[in-house]
Amino acid sequence: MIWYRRVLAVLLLVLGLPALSGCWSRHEIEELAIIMAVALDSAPGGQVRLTTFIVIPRAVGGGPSMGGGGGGEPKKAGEVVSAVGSDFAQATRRLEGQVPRRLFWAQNRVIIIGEDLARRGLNYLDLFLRDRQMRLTTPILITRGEARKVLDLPPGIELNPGTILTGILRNRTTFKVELKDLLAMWEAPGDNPALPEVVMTPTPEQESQETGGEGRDAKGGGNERGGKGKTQPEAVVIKGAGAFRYDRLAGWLDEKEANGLMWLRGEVKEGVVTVPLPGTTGTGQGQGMAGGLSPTPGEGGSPGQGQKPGAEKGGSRDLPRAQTALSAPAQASVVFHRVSAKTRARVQGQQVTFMVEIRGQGDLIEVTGNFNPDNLEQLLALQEAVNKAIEERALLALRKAQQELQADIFGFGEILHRSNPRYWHQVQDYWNEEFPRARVQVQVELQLRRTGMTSRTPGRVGAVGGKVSTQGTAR
Amino acid sequence: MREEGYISPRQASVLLWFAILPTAILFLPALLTLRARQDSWLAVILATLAAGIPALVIYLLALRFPHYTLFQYCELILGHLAGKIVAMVFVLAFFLLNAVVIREFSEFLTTAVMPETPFLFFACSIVAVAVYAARNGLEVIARCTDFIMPLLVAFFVVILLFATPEMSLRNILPFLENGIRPVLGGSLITWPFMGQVIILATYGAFVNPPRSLGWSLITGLLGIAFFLGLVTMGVILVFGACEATSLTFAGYNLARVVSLGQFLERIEVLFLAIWVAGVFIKIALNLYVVALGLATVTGLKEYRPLVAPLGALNVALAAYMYRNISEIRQDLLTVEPGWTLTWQFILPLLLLLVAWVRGQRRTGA
Amino acid sequence: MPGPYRRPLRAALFRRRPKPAQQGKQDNNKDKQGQPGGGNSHTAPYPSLEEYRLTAELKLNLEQLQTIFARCSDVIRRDFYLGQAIKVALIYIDGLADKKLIEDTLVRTLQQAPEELARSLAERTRDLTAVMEMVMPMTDVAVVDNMGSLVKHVLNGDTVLILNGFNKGLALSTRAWEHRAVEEPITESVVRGPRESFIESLRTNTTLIRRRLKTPSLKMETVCLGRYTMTNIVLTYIEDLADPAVVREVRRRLESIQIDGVLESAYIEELIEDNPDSPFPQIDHTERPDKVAAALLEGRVGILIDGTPFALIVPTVFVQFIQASEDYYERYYLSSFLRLARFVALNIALLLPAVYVAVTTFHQEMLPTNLLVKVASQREGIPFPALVEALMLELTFELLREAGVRLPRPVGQALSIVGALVIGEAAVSASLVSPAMVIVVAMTGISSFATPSYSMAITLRLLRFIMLILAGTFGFYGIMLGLLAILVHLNTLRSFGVPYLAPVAPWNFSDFKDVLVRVPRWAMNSRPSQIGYRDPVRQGAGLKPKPPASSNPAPERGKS
Repeated sequence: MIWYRRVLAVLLLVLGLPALSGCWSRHEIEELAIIMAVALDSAPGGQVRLTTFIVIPRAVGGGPSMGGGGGGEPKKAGEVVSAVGSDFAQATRRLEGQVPRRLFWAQNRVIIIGEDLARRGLNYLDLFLRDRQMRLTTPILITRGEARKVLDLPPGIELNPGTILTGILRNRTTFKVELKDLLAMWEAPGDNPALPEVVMTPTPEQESQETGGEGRDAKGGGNERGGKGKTQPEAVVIKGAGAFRYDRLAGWLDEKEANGLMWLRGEVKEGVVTVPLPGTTGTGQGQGMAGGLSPTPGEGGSPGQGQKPGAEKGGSRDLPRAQTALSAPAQASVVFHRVSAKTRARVQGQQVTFMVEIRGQGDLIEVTGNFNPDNLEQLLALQEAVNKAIEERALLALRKAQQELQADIFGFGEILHRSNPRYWHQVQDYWNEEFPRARVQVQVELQLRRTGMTSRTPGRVGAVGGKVSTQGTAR
Repeated sequence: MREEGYISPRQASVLLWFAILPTAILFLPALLTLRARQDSWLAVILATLAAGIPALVIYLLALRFPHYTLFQYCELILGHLAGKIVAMVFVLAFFLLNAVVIREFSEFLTTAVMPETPFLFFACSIVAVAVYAARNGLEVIARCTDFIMPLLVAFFVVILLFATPEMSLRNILPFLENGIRPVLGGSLITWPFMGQVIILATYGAFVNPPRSLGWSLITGLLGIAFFLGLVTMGVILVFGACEATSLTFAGYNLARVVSLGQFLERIEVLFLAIWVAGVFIKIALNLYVVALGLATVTGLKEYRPLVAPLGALNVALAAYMYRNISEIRQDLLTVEPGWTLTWQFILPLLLLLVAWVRGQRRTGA
Repeated sequence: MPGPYRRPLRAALFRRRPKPAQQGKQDNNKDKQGQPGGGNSHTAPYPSLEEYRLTAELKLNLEQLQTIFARCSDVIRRDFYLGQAIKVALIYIDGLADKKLIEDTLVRTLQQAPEELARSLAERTRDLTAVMEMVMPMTDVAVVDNMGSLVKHVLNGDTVLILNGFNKGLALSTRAWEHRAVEEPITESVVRGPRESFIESLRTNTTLIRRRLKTPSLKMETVCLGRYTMTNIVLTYIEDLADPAVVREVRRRLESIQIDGVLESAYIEELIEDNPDSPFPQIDHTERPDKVAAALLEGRVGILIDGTPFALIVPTVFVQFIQASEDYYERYYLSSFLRLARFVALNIALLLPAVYVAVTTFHQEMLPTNLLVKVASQREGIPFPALVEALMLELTFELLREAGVRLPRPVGQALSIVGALVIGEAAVSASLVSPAMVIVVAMTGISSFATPSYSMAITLRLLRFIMLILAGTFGFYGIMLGLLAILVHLNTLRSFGVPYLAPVAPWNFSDFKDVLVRVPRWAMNSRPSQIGYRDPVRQGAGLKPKPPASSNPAPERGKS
């Protein structure tokens, strides 16, 4: 019966286990406050503010007794909770004091850093690297003004800001920085972080003009829940970037510069470039190039600028289309893919030169001017224009980084490090000071390959086939 | 004393993988990149080459004393008293090693997976299962590895394969940035893990046929170098040397960044499952060796009754060995290389020299 | 002689340890005489029944038999004269023996035997062989010389003929009793493949095997077990293929069994398996003769037991429990796919509820966000922790299954429908359990039905509860601990010397042809290396069929 006793002991042990261990690490799924988005801000008095978007599963998942109901406008999918502390661990602790459930971070979709906190430095992010629930693959965004405003985004196609933002990021209209990438950029001596920027519409500036700043002040202090309907942003766009020098925010890149940054970092894989048709009169050119640069937020998503489909999606809800139709610029858009950027560093004496070579393929997707795709010269001219436009953007970003920010946000230092470690060891400690002196040559070789499903020549004449072709050859 | 049952040369070499890899893939990449930066993979290769020397020593000793364990031929070579003392040193060294492994194991689980659970629980439970395995003998442990090994290999292939989109080949440049010295330093850190090939001198006595021990050693070492190099390489390629040094459990983080499209993210729990299985084999094998050695030294006929008490002692030792995880890292970085070099390399070498000078061999088994 | 014999005789019949039988003469093709296992009989106070030898005095013999078969109303004794010269007695059991045969053939022939022949038999020779040669109308005849074997023959349905003046009797095989016809196997039905199943009659079962293996190498040894049941057990194997050590070991284990009765193969299984403490079945059983024949062809040993349609197969390895006989009858692609599916089902049956509980209570980060939110919303308002919820539902499911199995079939069906639909639906809408959990439990149930072997399925059912508790307590780590313990345990198991996880651990690549997949027949060239190593080559190489070279013949080369 020894055997019997042994089995009994094992059985008792197994059955007694739940009682023995109590609730080590065990949390029922419905006891979790699932955080889907996190906004990090600074708070007065050297403190920080942690704002989280917590999903209300009932509202999203539809409980067991969901039945009919439904319909109507999308419900609020979650709650925005915010707390202040001297660091984020403390703020988290305070947050736990406000939430009836246990905070659960592992499903966090996005971290948004506010401008002020970014200027204070990235070291506040340590909690998000050290805590076991945090994931290194969480994308990070930066925003002007207060980040927590972004979490007040009303539900639209997606129900919560985390999904909205990651969804936009997935469209690859701009670059994406995950926590691990940020860490890599930040730790490497020859690199400085740059984070994509979330732009709220209406922007906080506009909004503060409207409400006279009172709404912000009221929300500025204390631990109260954020998100009054009046101050909510209506939509977000991810465009532009915040550039860091070492671990502090140094300045902002606008959309074009951010685009140039992507090209130089080799982050661009696909996208659209719109250029005025070469050979047309100058007005078109100005118009086309200005599209992306225009400071007013309303025009940020103008179709004329076209290089960011995602931006259009987010921003152009109620824009009068006629506005662009009026000018009717002769321009062409090229979608490109299989892009690769290679950067080489060369050191001559004390002069460092970086040569960036961008190669790729492009397809014509839209032409709104007189352009005959069968005409080889025109095609090559367009190709040249596209290359030029890209190069210009890259140089724009470069100029900003070298002259204004004095920060190597392109990771050129690491490239130098890899190709010429000896020289690198001389400059690595003051690389950001050294960087503005570096020369950068950008060479873009994008090849136009295909011209789409039609070979028609658009233009004034319209779609009369024979005339178009004669016109094409006449030119 | 002898234990009935033989294992095949292939099982011996796979056991060798399990004796080294599980803890190495978790702790080593971070420590290694701390010293050797992006050349860590080279350090792994160098360490493998270096581990070839003790492997050769073990092989020569095994040729002189086929079918004898390390503990037995200690006595044959050095005589009764000195032999027992040296054998006891080996037993204690393995015992200590096992305590370190248990501690590393439970420390990792409390840090990364279940922080609220006391680490002693992890130590006790895994040792309990390991005791069960060790009591059933080498054959059973070897057969368990037969089962787990394909899973382990498949899983690493999957992880590394799906981590490729995250990899950037530029991360391994520049090659030999600061010369060869950091790489050598890295190899030294790898040593405490690689030097554990000596464990083959103990259970190698049960390899059938004994002549193929050389094959086991070579394939064992090559396999270890391959997998360890692959994981180290993967960590460097994904994270870059700078980031890799700051990730305490770099191998685990590698599994954490892997995503298979949108549907298979977060496979680190599977990593844990298989890793737990690997560490389990390692602990069971060490326990078996310690019990076998102690039985040999004390002249017991049967090692089985020793396994459970030794396991309990091991847990206790693991609990009191270090105060915190920093001590473990410090120990692995500074103390262990020297200590392991002593008992895993110099001691067997001395044994071989003495045996060679005194011309001892036992060929007829 | 009633007086002195009475007590000792009864005692001898029911003594615990009968002495090893002095084997009566045994006919070559007659294997009904087993030997009760050897024991230490020298301590027994009374001599065993075998020691009562038949005497030449018929009356004496009959008196003894009278004592032995007292108050056995079904034992029929009939005295008559052989050829009007020798007084003989027939003893048989009504219902076990073929009455028609006895009356029409046996008695008539013997009675009508020529008188002078009978006389000469009685006076001259007193030799039974002469009787057999000259008057016996039957072929299957054994000579009995003691009460023990006589009684055994009678109880087995034979007719025993005792002749006055001979100190030996003749056991005539007249076995014929009511039994079920050979039907389709109930537990292992196939779409394609033989539809015969074993039945409760041992002789029919051996026939079913012999019909498939027409070779003298097919051996069938008989062992008789059970003091009261006297169950015949046939140990069958192909002499050229089976490992003699295994055969010897099976024989040894069978013969060392001391038991009052054997009613089912499970009795034997539990008494001869290697590790009786293990929850895992270590001996495969089947009711399909083709499966037994296939096993014998691989070099295994079959054990057939009288009174049950289930035969045992040893040595058994783990993978056998996920191999179905139909795997070998369908195209190998499908078989391999199903084999893999069964592996998945095996794991689901063991682990799914545990994994679900572990994931939802410990490792929520594993779930995709949408799923997590869904599950969380489903669990809102459920009053029990996930572990309790899972245990409750699993238990309900087990009860439903048990009720469905035990009840008469029509009622059972109704019950399972009621249980599944009504209880599940009601529990979900009352928010007592979450729909996800119902799905999990249902999937687990389906998967456990997908395991071809019922005995493995019930093992997994039990282990599932342990895994569930481990998972609910320690999450994935608990599951891993449980799995490792199971793995170690499985590795300690051996079935008649063969490691239980055989082709996987210890690894043998060649044997993998029949584990995860089933390779085509023409590639199964060798027997399992751990079992059929005596004659590893199963078939010629290069059996892969090819179409004829071409209908328009290729130009012949090098003919001149």
